[in-house]
Amino acid sequence: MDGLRDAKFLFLALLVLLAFIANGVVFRENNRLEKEDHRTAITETNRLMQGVCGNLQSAAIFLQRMIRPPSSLAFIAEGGGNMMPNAVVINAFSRWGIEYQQRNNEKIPVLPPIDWSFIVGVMMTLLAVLVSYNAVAGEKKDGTLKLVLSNPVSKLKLFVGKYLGLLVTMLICLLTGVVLNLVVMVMMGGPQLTAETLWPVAWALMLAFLCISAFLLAGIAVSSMTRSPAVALVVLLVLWVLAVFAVPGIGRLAAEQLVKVPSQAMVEEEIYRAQEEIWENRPRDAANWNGNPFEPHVPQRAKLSWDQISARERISDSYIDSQIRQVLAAKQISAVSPYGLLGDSFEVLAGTGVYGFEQLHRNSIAYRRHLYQFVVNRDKSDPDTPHLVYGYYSSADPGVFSQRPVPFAAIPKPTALWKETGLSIEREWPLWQLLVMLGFNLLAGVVALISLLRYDPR
Amino acid sequence: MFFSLLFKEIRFHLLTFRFAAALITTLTLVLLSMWVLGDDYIRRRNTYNLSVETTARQIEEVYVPSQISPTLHRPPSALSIFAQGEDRRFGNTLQVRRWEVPRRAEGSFTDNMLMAAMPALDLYTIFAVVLSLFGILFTYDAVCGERENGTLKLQCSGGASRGAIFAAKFFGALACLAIPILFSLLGGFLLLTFFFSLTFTAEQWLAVSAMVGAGLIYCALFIAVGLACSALVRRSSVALILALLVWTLAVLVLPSASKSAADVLHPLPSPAEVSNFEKVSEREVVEQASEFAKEYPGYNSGWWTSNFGLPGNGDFLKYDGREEWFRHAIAYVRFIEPVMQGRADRIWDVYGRHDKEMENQASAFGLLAMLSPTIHLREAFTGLANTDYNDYYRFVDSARRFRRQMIDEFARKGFFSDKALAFFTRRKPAEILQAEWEKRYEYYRQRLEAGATYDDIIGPQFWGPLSPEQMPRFTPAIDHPDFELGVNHSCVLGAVLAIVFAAGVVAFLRYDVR
Repeated sequence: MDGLRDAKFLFLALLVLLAFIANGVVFRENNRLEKEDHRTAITETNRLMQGVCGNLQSAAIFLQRMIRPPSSLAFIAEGGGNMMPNAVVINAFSRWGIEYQQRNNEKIPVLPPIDWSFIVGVMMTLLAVLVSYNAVAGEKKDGTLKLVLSNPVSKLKLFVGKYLGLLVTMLICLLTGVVLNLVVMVMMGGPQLTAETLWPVAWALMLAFLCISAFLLAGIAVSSMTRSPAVALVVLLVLWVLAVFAVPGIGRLAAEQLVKVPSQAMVEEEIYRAQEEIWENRPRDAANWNGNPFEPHVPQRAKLSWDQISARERISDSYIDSQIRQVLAAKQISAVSPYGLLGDSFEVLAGTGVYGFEQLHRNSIAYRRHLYQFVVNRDKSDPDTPHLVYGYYSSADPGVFSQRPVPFAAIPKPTALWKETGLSIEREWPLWQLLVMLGFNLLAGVVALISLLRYDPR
Repeated sequence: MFFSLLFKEIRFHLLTFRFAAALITTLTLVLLSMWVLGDDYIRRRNTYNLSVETTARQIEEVYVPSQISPTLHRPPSALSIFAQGEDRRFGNTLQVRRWEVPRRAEGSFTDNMLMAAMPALDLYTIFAVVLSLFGILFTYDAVCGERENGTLKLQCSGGASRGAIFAAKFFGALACLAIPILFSLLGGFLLLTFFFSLTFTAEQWLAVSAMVGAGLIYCALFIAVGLACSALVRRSSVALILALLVWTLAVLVLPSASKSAADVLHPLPSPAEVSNFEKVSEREVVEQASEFAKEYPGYNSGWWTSNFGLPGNGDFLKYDGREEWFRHAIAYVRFIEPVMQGRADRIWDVYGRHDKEMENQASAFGLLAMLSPTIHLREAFTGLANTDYNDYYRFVDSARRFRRQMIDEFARKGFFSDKALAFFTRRKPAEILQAEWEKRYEYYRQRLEAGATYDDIIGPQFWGPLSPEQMPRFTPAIDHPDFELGVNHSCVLGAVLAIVFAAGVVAFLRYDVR
């Protein structure tokens, strides 16, 4: 109760609540625009695809943008938002490049968004530090600690009482903020509060609770190790700065040292050399095209095309995989800090950041194969072609596979890979992150308890 | 009197736990950051050198002017070791094409663009977050804490004025905060010099000094905030909360809130507008090309574009042909070049509207973020380190001007009009006549029958690469640290510091020391 009535707590708690409200307003507005852009892009792609349905070959080489739908849970963690590629240029033969199709302003610096990750991970953990730094040392300095212990109250009960008192105070602030946040979003026509939305929100709340608890326990632990609240404060703030700013920053830099990723220039050079080698070693007539798809050398031409495309895709996919691995390594290293762990698990829940990109990458591979198989199957029913289904970036040799019309409705669409709600098709749950967070709490709790048990209240 | 108070404050701070914590934390973080970022800079510089060499080799494979499509590279800034800024976010490589007005750099020496959203620990971050927080910690109890201890009234009962006492506290804390900064920087520079063998020019040293100066003013501001809060309340715990509230707002919340507010107040238009216009205009060009092809039978879009249409493509050199084909190709160049260049200019106009909206949104952000000293520090650091948006913009803008010069040069030489033949082949007008072709054809037929390939007969080695004089020269702008920007933002910080300091003095003058 004292915590709730404390003016200094109220000031900062009010700031937290305002941040939750602002998050709701900003997210809702941005999400509305992103969904509008996504719908417009799909409509335009479908319209253009309808224009090429008169010819299966044209439909196969048609370059479309497979755009990842915006996450309805991005208010939990924006995950880099428009800094992450969200589109793949794709046709039946290959994925030709990744793009950024967001409303991104390159003239504004990159700054952390005010999402739950920021509000809980930065603001509420700072608040936790400020309410707990003098939990023990402050009472000792005021002389009230020995008065409390002179009653038949064990140190264990004192510890539990302090911890739960602080925790409930913070929990009230957190729950109030979350409720305000959800109310604001729903009132503005935001995400539907269904089981699909509420389960991730519940997980996020649980992780947020554990993160705040870890900082409270750390505060009690440090406060129990010193007689001076000022020293406890300095130590805790240093730990907080290290956990919130230094460790994630170091995590990124360490990952770049430990998990090497080739530069884009090197990758392009490797692709160029691989394709050049295939070209140089091609069969004699493979490069020739005289307009007759039934000429005996055309299968060699098909093989040449596929070999070059496969080489490019193999090298590009390896590059993308190494990039993803590096980012995941950075996140795992940053998970040494509860804040880094919280941010990572929030991104898993929201399907944003590198997790969203990874899913786009996997889905684009699956869609390309599905689309290619569709073209092969349709071509089989046409007796007038040599059934050599191959092509290039935006063209194909005429007549090597069917040029008959294909119904638009029959063509596989990338939107089928995502549910209408826009949520990721595979919900991942941050299980190991939850366990590690529990571990942080256990460790901090044990240290805090032992420190308090050994504390001299005189 | 002032100096004795000052030395007393310095001695006091030097013996506190928080000074030791500041020293150890700052030293560790600065050395770590410089070690990793120094290594990162060297890797990026090596990648840049490799890319420049690769580009130089690719120039040797340019045989005709239509293939000229220079690749420009922006070197990494050595001062990005101190302030990463936007350096990792933007591309560093840009290919100049006649049929596209450069909008953004494509490639990057930074290996992983997916990391752009992750925070980096550089000197700017250390100043912006860590040192400013220590500034608060050094002074939040300087007045009210001493009042609680009972030493404040003793101090005020001495001969020194309150103004002198306040100033001594301010400068004492600043001097003690400067010690970890200077020690850490010294260690960092020794690391960069002896471990990485990095050297800086005199201008770069000046830029680093300016960054440190801006950083010290920034830290002084938060020292003044701590002192002012301490002089406004009677309890140190309340002063701490008040000071941290100001710090949280200024350093953490305001910058991000300004960006979010700018997003809501000035939403950007959808990027689909530009890509849709690109598609629409592409269809228009295809329709025009179909009309053109009606006059020139044998048109096949793949054959045309692979043999004549695309820059950087020398396939035509591997083929020879009848006089009719050359005449078609000349007509095609004279048709397609103005059409595609015009299309590029129209796309740029559409994009220009987006660019204007981005400018408006950035202005809204700038106006809101002006209240945050952290943004001023960031602008100063990134401007001095050549890692802000302006440096990237200058690179892309110079590429645009280079493209224009290249096109104007080609137009002056008649490549898009009466000298179109020389644009895509090295054959002279007399050589393309049908009679000459028939002589060559007989020679090719005999060579092919003997087992040679087209490459053997009329491959690229037939003519050799274009001479350097025929290649357009790009003179990159040398990036200088933006001292004007650094000084301007430092002055703003200095002005805010003066206001906060004055407010603190006034509060202290009215403070009841009992």
